[in-house]
Amino acid sequence: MSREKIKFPLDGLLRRDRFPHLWCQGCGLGIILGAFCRAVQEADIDLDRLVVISGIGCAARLPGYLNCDSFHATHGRAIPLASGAKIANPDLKVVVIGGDGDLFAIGGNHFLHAARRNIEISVICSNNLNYGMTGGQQGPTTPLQALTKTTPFGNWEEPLNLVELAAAAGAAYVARWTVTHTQRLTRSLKKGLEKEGFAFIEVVSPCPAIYGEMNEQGSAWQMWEELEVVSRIQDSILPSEASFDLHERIICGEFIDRERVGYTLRLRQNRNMARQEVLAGYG
Amino acid sequence: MDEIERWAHIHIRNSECKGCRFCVEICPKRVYEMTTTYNEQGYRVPHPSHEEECIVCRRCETACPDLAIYIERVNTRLMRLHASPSSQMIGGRRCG
Repeated sequence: MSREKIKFPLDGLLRRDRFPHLWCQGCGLGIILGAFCRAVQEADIDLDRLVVISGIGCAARLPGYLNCDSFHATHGRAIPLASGAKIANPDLKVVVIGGDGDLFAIGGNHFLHAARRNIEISVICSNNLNYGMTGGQQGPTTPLQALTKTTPFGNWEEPLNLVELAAAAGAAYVARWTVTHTQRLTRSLKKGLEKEGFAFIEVVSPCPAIYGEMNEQGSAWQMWEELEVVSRIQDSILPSEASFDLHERIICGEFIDRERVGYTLRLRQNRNMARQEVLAGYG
Repeated sequence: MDEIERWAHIHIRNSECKGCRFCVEICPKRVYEMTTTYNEQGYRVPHPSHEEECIVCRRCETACPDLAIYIERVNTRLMRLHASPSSQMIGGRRCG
């Protein structure tokens, strides 16, 4: 059919020869990929200046479908590599995409210190509430009483509130969306790309094949509808009040948008000062 | 085919579809229908049976997890006609 030959608007940003992608039927990661591509298009970023780095996991396969420079790092170590790329060449736009396990369990420490330093990268976290790629084990964001492979009688550990952590660590931009907010997510991703500071965007993404099946949440569309019903948008409230209850209320919105001096800028200033002092000392 | 006034052409890459039904469920004008044809990977694919009712809201395009839908706006004259306050709604079923 001639219809198959039509060029789609996102074809320039994607490696279409690798499609169809490997994610499950109804997985939210494809929606995040589309929203990210649209954000890059709207922000008018040169693909030669964009670097996308990821760790290990389902979400970490995302840069493989993008037609830009990317790096698939070791487990949890995406942020150190992104920091290195940004410090070496501050003209680059550096983005880290990862899952909740990769960024907050294995790489939690790196996230904390990158946010503290306010290094100018944007971190996109796809939160699917468990370790999806390894078969659905309990992770740092699994809600209480949720059934996973390692908690067959219900989870007894308190989950981590990711936006609260990012705000407390000092991120310049903090937002949370679900995959049902496709337009707002695109705008938020664009804002994060243009932010001169550490931007953190959490995207709650359904995992119908593993988490949804174990917790009897029904089909992918039923999970989508439930997310639509429980999510409320409340911009500019305190991140500590942004509750995350999968069956009651998920507070979404932009929680933090503040101006802080970026890390590479401070580093450059410090280096110039040191150079002048050394030159003065030798003079 | 061309005699029907339409706003959009809907392009679907059937080979990349995984049959998640998001487009069928999310469309406010119920443009899509699930067919009984299967693609190479064994998924049932949707078909825009009521393409002429599309209002170019692009919800299906942004929500498709496989990036397999593209809504091409074809009739800008009709868009202006519908947008003007004096015009009446031509056809179209109720939303929802």
